[in-house]
Parts: sequence; C-alpha cells; structure tokens
Amino acid sequence: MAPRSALAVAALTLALGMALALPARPVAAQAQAPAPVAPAVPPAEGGRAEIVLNPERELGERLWQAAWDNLAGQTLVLGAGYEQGTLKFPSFRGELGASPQITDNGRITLLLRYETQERYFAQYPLRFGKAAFGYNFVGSYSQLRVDRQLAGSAFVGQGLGTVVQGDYLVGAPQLFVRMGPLYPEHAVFWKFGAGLGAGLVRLSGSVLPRNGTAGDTPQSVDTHGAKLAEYINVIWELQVEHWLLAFRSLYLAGRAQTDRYTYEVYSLSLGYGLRF
Amino acid sequence: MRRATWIAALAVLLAMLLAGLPLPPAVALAAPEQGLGLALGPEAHSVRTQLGDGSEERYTSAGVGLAGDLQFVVDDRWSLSPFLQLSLERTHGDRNVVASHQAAGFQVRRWWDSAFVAVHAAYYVELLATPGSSRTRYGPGLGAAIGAEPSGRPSWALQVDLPLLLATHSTQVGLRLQVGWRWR
Repeated sequence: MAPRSALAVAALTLALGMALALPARPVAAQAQAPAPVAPAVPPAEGGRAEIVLNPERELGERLWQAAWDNLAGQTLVLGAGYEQGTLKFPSFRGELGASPQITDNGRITLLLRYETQERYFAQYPLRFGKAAFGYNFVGSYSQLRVDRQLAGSAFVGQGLGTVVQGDYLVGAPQLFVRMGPLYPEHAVFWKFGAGLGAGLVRLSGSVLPRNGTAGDTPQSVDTHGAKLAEYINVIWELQVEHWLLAFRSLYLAGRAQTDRYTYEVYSLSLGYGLRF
Repeated sequence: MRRATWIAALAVLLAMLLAGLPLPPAVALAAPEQGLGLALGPEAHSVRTQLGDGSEERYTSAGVGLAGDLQFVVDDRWSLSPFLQLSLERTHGDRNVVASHQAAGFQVRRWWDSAFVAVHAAYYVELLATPGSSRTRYGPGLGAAIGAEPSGRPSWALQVDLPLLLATHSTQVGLRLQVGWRWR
C-alpha cells in the first residue's frame, strides 16, 4: 500500500501547491492568445498603440527553453544505484499463518530506463522558468535477487538458505510535474512523477512459508516464465544537465503459481541520460 | 495535543495563506531567492501508540536532522520547495533505541520580506533500530514551518510535522529547527 499512499499524498500536495501559489492562467493558454501578449494600453493620441509585455513571464519561458531544449527528446538512462527490494506473499498455499517475506537487505543495481519525449498539458510561469505538468511513457528493465527472509524485523532479513531470483520488464504512462531551471544559467530541474502500468515478471526460487519458524521447510516459488503483473512507479528526481539523481519507489503485484505476491523496491540511483 | 487539534491548526494556517494576508503598506518586499538549500539542526519527536492489548506505548526521541530542498520562486510572495529530510535520534521512554525519521515532501511558502510561513505535505518514514531487530513505519502527513532567509546570511526554519498514517492507533508529532544556507 505504501506506493499508493505516496501517490495520493503527492498528487494532493502538488494540486494544493499549484492552486495556492500559481497564477490562474497557464503559460500555454497565453501563448495561444494573439499578440500582443498583455496588456495593451488603449491607443494614445495620434492612434499609436503602446504594447506592454510581461518581462518576467518572457524571461521564464526563455530560460526554460535555453536549459531544457537541449535535453528534450527520447531518453535512455544508464546508471547504477542502491536499492532494497522485498518480495511479499500475503498468504501462501493456504497454510495458516504463512505469509513469507524475503528481501535483499539492500544491494547495488544497474539502472536501465527508457523514456519517450515529454508532452505538457499545462504550464505555469516561475520567476526563472516554468512548472510544467506533463506525461510520457517510461519503461525499465531490472533483475531481482532476494535471499534474506524477514523473520524478526520489518526490513532486515536473515539468511536462512532460501533465495528467489528473476527479472522484470515494466512500462507505464507517467504523469509528472517538472520545475526549473533552478539556476538561470544551468539546466537543473526537479521532477516528480507517478505511473501506473504493467510488466512482465519472471521469478523462481524457494521461501520458508512462516519466515523460518520451527518446522518450516522450503517451498518452491515459480512463475513458470514471464507473467503479467501490475506496476506502480513513483519517482523524485533531480536533474543536472544530463545527470539524474533519482529516488524511486516501485511496486509490482502478480501471481506465482497460485499465490499472489507483491514486490516493493525503494532505490536511490545516479544515471546519465542519452538523448536521441 | 490531539491529532484533530493539529489538523485544525494546520487548516487555519492554510486558510490564512489562501486569504493572502495582505502586507502592511510600510513593509517593502524583498524577493525570495531561488536555489539549493541545505540545513542542519536539532530534531525531536513524540510518539504515542495504542497497543493491541489496550496498553499505551510512549516514547520521545531527540537528535540531529539534515534537510535539503530546492526553492523555486513564483513571485515576490510565493515559492515552492520540494524537500528531503532525515535524522538520527535516540529514543527515551518505553523504547530506548536508535531512531531515524525521514520525509520527502513539497512545501508552499508565503513570503514577507525575507521571512516566510509555509505548509507542506510529505511522505514520512520512521525507523527504529536495535541490533538484530528493527521496525519501520511510514505514511503521508502534513506540516507547517516558519523561517527566514536573509540575503547573504544563513537561513533558519522551525518546522512542525504531523505524520497522519504511520499506524492506525499511533500519534506522532515532530519538531525540528534547521539552520542552513541557500546557494543562490
């Protein structure tokens, strides 16, 4: 439930923040209006109209373009990060009290992510840039390996001889807000996004049904190939030129044999975006 | 203080911000400044949890907190700040362990000269760690802050946090004082 809660609170917060702090009229709407931008003073004596532009708004737009236009486009992000992933079974084989959870206690992983070009449906001026609400499509591939059963702790597992490994390919349309540039002369942006999609997940291994209590014997877990799973992705990202520092929460939910599982990941990654 | 009281106080603060609180005409505006900010300072939490057997667990914690934020200026009166915070604390009371409180959130600031009042929503995490056993709880919440960022001098902020959903029968209040610097 954690990613869903995060999604809800983030959406509420952003909506509240924008409603409170930003002018009512988006930049995009103004951009479509016929020139002059606004406001036009009535013609002076002699019939000559005096046009007063909004210099702050123009500056914000120019700074955004200068900083972002070189980075816009399809992106392949390559990098590495530190993450903790936990595989959870709410119930297991119908056995009383069986709800195994197995984690990796944190590990270094590779980052491989693809994003389509961003599209914006609402943009609001900031003093040195814009806040843009938009959407795109995000896909990523990763491997998982969990070998520490959660016996007496919510997040630190113990090595009890069990392991589940596999990989997943996921994709989702993503809604986001991007703000920036943070500094007028540098392409520094903040982005918060959330996506709901699907993925193909492949798992195999074994777990102790009751997290290692007396009498447990390992039982197999297997998706028998790549199987469809639900996917939720939430990111908090700082972008400096082509470099990305990303906090990510990922949530997968599917079935392995007859048992429903969730796989939750919290990660911090550093990547480099290749634009094409 | 009861959770409902805190929510009411935050709602009143929010209403004040929405109303715009017109400035005294004598006050000259100095714009808030945009940039990355880092801050450090003391932090404390008070946690009360209703246990399954009807008893109540209470503990307080105190330690040091670190915070980072990105401040985006909208105009002379408003700014937006996504932020991250974490702390290292020691608990006292019914639990005596090492604790860490973390938050990722989004703050809206209303400025008067170099001083601000802010409200924020965040996702909170509480981590209690002892050798061989740990507990983590998390959920969304609200908060408020006051502070100042004088140009060319260190900034400061006093912040109250109210994680709402750490647990069904748990009430938590956090207080942090941050002194830091903004790179403009």
